[in-house]
Amino acid sequence: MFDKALHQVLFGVLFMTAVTLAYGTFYDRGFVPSVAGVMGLGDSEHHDRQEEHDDD
Amino acid sequence: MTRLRIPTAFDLLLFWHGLFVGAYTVAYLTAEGAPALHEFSGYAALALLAVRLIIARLAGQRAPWALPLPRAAQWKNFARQLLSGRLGVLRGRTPFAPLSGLLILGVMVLVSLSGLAADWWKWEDLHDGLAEGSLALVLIHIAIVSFAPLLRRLAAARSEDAAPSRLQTP
Repeated sequence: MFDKALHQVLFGVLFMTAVTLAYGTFYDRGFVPSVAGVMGLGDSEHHDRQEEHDDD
Repeated sequence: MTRLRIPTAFDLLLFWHGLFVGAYTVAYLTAEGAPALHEFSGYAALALLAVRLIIARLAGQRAPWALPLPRAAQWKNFARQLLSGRLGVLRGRTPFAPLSGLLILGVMVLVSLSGLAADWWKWEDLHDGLAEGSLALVLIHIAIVSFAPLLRRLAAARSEDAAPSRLQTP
């Protein structure tokens, strides 16, 4: 049962990563920033600056 | 040839568990640097939690979707076996596993709802604190559910090591 649960957890992490990457690629900042984002290396300050610039 | 079969309720619960772990992991990793992806995975986690709680409500007492509420008889039986020196009970499913699952469900509901509050009313400190605390609980849950299989594998490896030496003795 433990192995089955572990496999499902690995599948779930991969699936949700893929779905979030797809969302980030088509509806947010593109593929490369989304990959950096899901790896925990995102640059939210750049995003904030861009939003402020868009507001101006 | 691989045979297709209709998934059982337990298979579906494991599938839900995998998706929820995925949503939580992505939400945790995107918390600092990717706000849009964090919101997306956070809303996915909230939706999965809602599905879990609705099905638990519909399932009532029926396993495996019923909430893992602690049962006095299970704890008494576990304590009786431990006190009588039967440490082998730790290799099976202990009542700590469902208890940690229930605690995680409760904390995840709080984390998700505080995330909603952070999104709508900018209550970000509350959400940050709860989310950081939830990671400790997740690690405790992983330790609890991994402990019994680890003990079983150690025992199996030990018995495999012991078997050839028994054969070699004259």
